[in-house]
Amino acid sequence: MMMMEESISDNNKQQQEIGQDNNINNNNNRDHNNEDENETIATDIEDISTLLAKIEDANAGSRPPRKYSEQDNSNPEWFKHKKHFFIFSFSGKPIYSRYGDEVALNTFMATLSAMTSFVESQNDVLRSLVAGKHQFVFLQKNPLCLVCICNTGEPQMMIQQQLEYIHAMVISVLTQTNIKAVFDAKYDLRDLLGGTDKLIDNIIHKVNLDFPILLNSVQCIRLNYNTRNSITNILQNRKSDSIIFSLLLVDNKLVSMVKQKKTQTLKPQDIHIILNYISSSTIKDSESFMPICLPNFNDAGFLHLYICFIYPQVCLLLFSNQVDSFYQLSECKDLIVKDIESENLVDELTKSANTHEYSTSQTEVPNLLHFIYKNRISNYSTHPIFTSPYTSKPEKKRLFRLYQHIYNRANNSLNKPHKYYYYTSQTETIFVLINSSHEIYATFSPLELKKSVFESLNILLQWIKENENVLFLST
Amino acid sequence: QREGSEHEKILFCYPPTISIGEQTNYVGLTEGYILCSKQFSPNQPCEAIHTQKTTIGIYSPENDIYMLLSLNNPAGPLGKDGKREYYEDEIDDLLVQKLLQQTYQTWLLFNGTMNSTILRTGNLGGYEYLRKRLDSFLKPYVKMMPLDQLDLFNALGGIKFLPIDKNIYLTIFNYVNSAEVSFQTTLSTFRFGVLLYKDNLILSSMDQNETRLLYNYLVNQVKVGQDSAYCLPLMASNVDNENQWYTKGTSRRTGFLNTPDNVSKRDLPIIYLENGTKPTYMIIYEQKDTISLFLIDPSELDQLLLKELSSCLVSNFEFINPALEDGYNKKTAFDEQYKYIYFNQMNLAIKASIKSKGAELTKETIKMLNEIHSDFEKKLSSEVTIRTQSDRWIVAKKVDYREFYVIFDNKNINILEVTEEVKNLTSKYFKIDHV
Repeated sequence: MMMMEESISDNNKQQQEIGQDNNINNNNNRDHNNEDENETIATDIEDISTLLAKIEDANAGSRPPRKYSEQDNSNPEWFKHKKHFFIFSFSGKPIYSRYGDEVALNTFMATLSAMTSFVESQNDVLRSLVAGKHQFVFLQKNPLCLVCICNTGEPQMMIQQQLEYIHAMVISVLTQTNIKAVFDAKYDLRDLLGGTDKLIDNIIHKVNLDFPILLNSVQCIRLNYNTRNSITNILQNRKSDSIIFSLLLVDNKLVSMVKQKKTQTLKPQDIHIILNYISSSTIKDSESFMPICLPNFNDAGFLHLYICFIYPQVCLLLFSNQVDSFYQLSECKDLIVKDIESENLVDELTKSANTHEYSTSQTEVPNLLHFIYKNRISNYSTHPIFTSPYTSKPEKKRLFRLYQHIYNRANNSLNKPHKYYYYTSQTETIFVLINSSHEIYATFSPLELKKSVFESLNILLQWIKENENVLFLST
Repeated sequence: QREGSEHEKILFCYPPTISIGEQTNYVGLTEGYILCSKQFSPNQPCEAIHTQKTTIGIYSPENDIYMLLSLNNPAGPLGKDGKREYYEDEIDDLLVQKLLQQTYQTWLLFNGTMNSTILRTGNLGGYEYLRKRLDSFLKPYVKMMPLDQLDLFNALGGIKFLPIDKNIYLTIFNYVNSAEVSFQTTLSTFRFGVLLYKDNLILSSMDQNETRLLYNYLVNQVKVGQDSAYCLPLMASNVDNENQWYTKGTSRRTGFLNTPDNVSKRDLPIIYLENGTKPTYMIIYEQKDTISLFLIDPSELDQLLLKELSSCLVSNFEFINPALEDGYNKKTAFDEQYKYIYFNQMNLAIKASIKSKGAELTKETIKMLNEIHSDFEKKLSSEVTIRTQSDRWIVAKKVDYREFYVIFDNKNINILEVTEEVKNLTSKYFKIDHV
């Protein structure tokens, strides 16, 4: 325990030097019953779960072990991983590696760094290398450099988008100004990113299979209109001046979102970062309070996020710009919970966690195998669960990669995206329709005739329109 | 610019205005990238590098020899903040690879392999000699490359065949055969190569790859069938046992290419067939848009009398010329109706109503055609239909080894009507079966 507090105060010192004074205020909130909470509030940069693991690991003083962390580039097995991610500074200092310990990969990252700085010296920016099936994709976000090395066959644009998400994740922990300041002061960024390996691992895992991220959108939970409406009203009513955003999530999907007037709406990338924090955390049944930077909202400062799981799988999020608003927010939560109970919404809410998914057969669209749909104005998307023939993991992965490929083809034009993109192969037919209000990617059997595909698509669009107020938040 | 480099040695670089420092930089860069990527992909080395401002392709045709082609990405205008927007996805990787391959193949045809050149002239200065050769041979070739107008035609590398009916075919066959036979009695290595009318191939006795190479040379460099007032033809000629390029005057005449007086043979180019191993003399005879190409081994060249050959070819020419003209004109008439490209991978035949540098091929269309072709190559899809923002329809199909692309610019047509049209078109004219 002693070691713990030392490292905490070290952390504090460093942060003070950078100019943060959030922790001091948080340290004062010691009146809570939950002991875990104390520790959590004190080290506001480190992730909750890894903090607990650190406590267990106090003697070793090391980070929690990750799979494959013993490998490095002297081990031929290491090269066989399908998708590597690396983060390093522009001077070549390693910060993160998905597989293997980044310290041992020092020389490797230095090579990558040399490759990019060489191109930079020519006043140019390195984007990617192609070698057979392998791609090396680079993203420069001074002072950081992010690289992905993979042989998954994904379009370069998609991988760049994924690297952007990881970068956004790093910003969310530290803020962009801090990252720059750390480098200027020549501190090691790894110390400050100490427990965030898990966060980055998780977001990497997610970008590889999440449809909403692929479409740059947010998935809303399917919930009946009245329930949703009532909840939105409750959130509206129970706001306080310091609350900038209130969100209610069920099973990590959006139920309702309310914002202060004159604030911009949250961009999908920010929402996914928030979702990543929630799903990476292991504490599911109490309150927590942490600083978080939302890169698209304001990448120079922290917002303070109050998280509380008011029911199993039901999570309330309140964002405030005031560092000492924990009690205020907690009271808000109490009021919100009271309102929800008084309007008898608890059952609907908790049940929806298990009943919100739907399959293509529920749409009653003939011949439809799967689809993904996005409303381009609100940035909300929806998709059914995987059904036959996409039931095995490789098949699901293959379909995901196919959607990625087609998304890239349909959206990658010099002008705007194509109006129609009809694609047939031996395994399926995918019909894409994009206009200014929505985009839809629908999968059918390869043997279907164009006529029936076209008709089915129209029926599907009709179904979505009819179910709009159940599938999406109203705008 | 491009260069071939081996170990730390630069063999060729174009444009030569790049400083030595920069050239060595490029070499170091490529080596670094190749080494690093080899760790992950040992069997398929680095073949492309993309930066914001350039697209680079790398090709290694022989052991320790690397060819690098760097093209500038198209860019938008200079904005107020002094920054330009670069369109990084425009240049297709497959296309750059094809260009490198074609360049190497042309080199191979006229010079043999690079490594053998080094060995052959070891005493006279191995690498230095190769450097000089590369400089004199590749520089004019690279200068003439249409780098800012790359499109699907470059990627496909097809050959246009002229469809002629059986009788005419037999007549032409007879024509070349009789020429061959009358000389072969004394010169056993004399043989027929290819026969072209304008830019269409009629007959070939060589294997597919060599046919394609010679066809490309005749059509793209010598510019057969194109009005030489608009473009400067480039031809290979033998100077001291090395092939050099020279530009021919603009007059078209009947007679042997490369021989100023129809008698002396010292200017006839040597080509290296069978993958650069077998040196052969190439004799090209031109008559009124018909080109006949014959080959003979170096050992027997002296015994060949060009005057005899030309009189033999001229005497029977009247039989075949009108038929060829007819067939050609008929073909062009049909083409006008639809905008299409048809390519058969098996025999390399290409039929297209869209001209290579035509107005229908906007940048956007070129990009889409390249992407679809790329998907076809990777066996990702078998049919694609696209309707762009500007209401242009592109339908592409691949059945077995045949690829077919059609463009419609009809705003009021819907997807089902488009499908019907394509179906009619293909079944009527190309007999492609429908799935």
